[in-house]
Amino acid sequence: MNYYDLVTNTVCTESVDLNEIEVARRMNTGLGYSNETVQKVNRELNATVNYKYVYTLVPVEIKENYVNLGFASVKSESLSRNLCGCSCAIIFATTVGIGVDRYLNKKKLLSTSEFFFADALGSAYAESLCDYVNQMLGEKFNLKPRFSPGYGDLPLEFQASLLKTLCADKTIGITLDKSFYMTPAKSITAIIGVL
Amino acid sequence: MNVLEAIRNKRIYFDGGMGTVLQQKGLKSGEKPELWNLTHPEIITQIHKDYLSAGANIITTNTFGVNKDKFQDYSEIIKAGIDCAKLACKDFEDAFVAFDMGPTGRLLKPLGDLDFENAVELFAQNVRVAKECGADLILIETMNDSYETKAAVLAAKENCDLPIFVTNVYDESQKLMTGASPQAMITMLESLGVDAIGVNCSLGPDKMVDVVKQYNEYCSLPIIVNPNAGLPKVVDGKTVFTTDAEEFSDYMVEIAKSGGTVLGGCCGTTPEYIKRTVEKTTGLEYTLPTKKDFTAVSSYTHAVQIGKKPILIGERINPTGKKRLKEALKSDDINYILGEAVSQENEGVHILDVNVGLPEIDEPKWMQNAVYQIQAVTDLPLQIDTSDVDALEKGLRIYNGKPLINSVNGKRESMDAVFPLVKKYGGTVIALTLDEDGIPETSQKRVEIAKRIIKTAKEYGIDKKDIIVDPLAMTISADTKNAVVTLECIKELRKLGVYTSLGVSNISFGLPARNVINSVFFATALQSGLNLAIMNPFSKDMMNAYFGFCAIADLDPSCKSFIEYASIDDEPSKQTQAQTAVLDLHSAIVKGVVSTAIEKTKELLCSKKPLEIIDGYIIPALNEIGNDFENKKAYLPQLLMSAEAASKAFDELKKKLDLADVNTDKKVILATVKGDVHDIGKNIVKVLLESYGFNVIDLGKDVEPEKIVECARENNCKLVGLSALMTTTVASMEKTISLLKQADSTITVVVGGAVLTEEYSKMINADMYCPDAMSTVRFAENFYS
Repeated sequence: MNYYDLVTNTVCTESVDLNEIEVARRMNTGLGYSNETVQKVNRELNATVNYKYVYTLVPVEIKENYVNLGFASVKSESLSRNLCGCSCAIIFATTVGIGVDRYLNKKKLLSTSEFFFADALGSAYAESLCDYVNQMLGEKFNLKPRFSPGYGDLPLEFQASLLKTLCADKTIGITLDKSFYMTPAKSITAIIGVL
Repeated sequence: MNVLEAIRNKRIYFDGGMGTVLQQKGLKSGEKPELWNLTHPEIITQIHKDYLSAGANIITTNTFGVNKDKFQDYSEIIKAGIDCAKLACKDFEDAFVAFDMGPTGRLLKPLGDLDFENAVELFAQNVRVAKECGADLILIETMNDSYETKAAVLAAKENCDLPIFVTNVYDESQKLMTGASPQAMITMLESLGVDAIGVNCSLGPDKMVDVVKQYNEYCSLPIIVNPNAGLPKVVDGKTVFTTDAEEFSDYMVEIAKSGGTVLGGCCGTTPEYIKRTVEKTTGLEYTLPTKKDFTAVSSYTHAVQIGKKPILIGERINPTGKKRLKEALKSDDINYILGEAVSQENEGVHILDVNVGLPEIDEPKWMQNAVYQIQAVTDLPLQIDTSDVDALEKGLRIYNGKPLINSVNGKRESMDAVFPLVKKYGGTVIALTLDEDGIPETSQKRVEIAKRIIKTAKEYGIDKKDIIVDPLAMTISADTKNAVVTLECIKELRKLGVYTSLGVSNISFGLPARNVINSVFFATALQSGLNLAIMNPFSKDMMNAYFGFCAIADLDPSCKSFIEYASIDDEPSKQTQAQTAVLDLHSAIVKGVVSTAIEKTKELLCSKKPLEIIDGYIIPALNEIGNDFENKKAYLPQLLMSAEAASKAFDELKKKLDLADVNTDKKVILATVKGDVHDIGKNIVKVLLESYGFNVIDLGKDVEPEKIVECARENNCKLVGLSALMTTTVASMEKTISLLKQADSTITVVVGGAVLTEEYSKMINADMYCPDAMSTVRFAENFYS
């Protein structure tokens, strides 16, 4: 794969296994907890999901806690540690789609408990998609653990250059607002070192 | 010759990309291309000339990202950009300057953070400068959201009379980023009266062919197609593209054959791409899209076509004869209305009627808010139903799509008020067959009024296809001929190719067993050719008539919808009945079953006083689940569901209670602090406090400290709960606490949120740290005991 070649695709909902640990964590329950309302919300939410991802390969150069990824250089001790020993990295963005935002907006107005479930499940869907893409990439590359803006000392603002490099607005429809929040809200960006 | 005449005569061409060419000429990564209008005007002019030499007729100014939000000197940049383009055009015939407006880069509310009217104003500022500088047309391009597209079009319409061209960006699923289908966009934009529409940018010409075909199927306007040179990628800070000029122009031939009329390029294309495209497509047969004659309305995701299968319009959001809705309107209870919107959608209606007319309320303000809010919970098209012209305009303006409008009538005054608004904002309008002389008794005279309305609409530039006639259902209890006249009228209008709509249930006014008459009349009207019915979707008889009719009239392939309807019909009610039989109010709340909690509260109210129910059932049940939660025997979701069931039970009691009986002294102010938009934790606390009967004043999220202080003073409230999720906003929590204490040292502040700890809360001088919602309730109980 050449540096900066974009690979973008949609993933059908059934191919992604929902990460049950993530569900329990987000809902503040024990593993496997469910009830009729949760199931109803899950069915409805599932129908609004539209999984997409985009990734590319970038070069890595680390000097005194400055990480140069070709498209941008950022000072971050934790990212330097994470990418130590890598000469290149994958950057990627995933999203569950704007339909989920609409569904959450609707639930927010109508029912606090259903909104809570939908929000928790939506986050779990986003994590699950991320795991799926991570695993898929793992079959092609020898990967280090993934790292996202906001972890450690890597500023959330770095999200902007990641998304720009991935042409994420055009490829999978992610935009940033003034406070660096992504829309669709259940989107994730990450950097994964390649060994 | 102006640009529209030029399009009528022959195939004309747009130019290609600007950014990519500028990068070749030395534009650095991160540098704003629009500033080159001021710093390198000769290069910009040369690029325009290169495109014109390559065969382009319309050149787009280098102003894509300019607006006052991003550039203080936006008007100088625009002026310089238009000057460059005009200078380049001087030596060419049939060359036009398109003032280029791209998206603001921010998403509109409710999905994003930009107000609709702020978006309109940002575009309007640009358009005013462009008009002043002598652009030939306005090009609104690369729009990936229908709401923002509408904002830009309105800004253009309100500030100039130049031709308006609009192109949108579709992804691989052939939707805009925010979900609109090509048909939805075509329906809205044609109705807004723009001059040419189409597609641009996206992922490359190969992916655009199918979207162009859809445009050709539904669109009557010239179709613009400006694709990217394939997929983008960023190399050394520069964006490059995967499709070369040869391949690109081959696809453009296919696009021209699929119906593309005005061709050009977007990101990654250069004069070479345009040159080859012109060479390969000038010889092709050139036809403009044919005029399509179907009637449709749209929402921000889809269009609903009228005239095929009958369309159901949910009538429940209309206060006439509905006590609960009247109360909701008077008490600003938007949630009740949103609930009605969603339940009607679940019953399967295609369009929702929105009527908020009550003498006691500010109808224009309410209409605007209702339309805005309903759009956030449903993507069904709306019917804006009002006789107040100001309310109509407010509703039409904020609506995201092409609405149905109810109504105009044969009175001159009505037509003169309504038609200009239809022309400006777009819409299909229901025409009532009445005039200055009232409602005619014969079908013939009603048809005459209909014809007159259609004729007058035409004078306003509104097509016959956008007038749907309501021949008026009048109750048969007043005159038994009424139904017959209405049905005759429907048949007559059908022969004339006019679509019809009826408020069906008026037919039985004043009679017993109204459902019987309504549903039989409904079926007969459908058989006579009725196209739309304003009706009650919760009436089983009406839904039976609808699904039954569609099945026997061959409008339901394989009877699929009917079978689905018949199979789900009874299940939920059986389930609820079973639950209702087993659970009492106490266990309904503990288990969090809302419907049963409401049912049982109503039953108990027959024999017990509201306060007995609160003390005997609701509070003990809440305490039980609360204890379970504290002892880790129940999870947060269970606690939440119980709280919601208890709140609904409370709502039932409040209907019977004197306000004096409710303890309104137990006030708690809640807010998520300034800078923080995460309010889920605060909302959970709110529901739980309310279920325990506290009077919660919720100030929302991202709240200024001063506003919280002000609210505490106004309400004389001594208990304030603050929430923050992010480390960065704890500072703003500290500031809020200090202001509150300064203003009134007797105020108690309780804090919570993901980043807070006991220790942290002490550092910022909070009185109490509550790790979860239940502990906040316990604290509030102690505070007021």
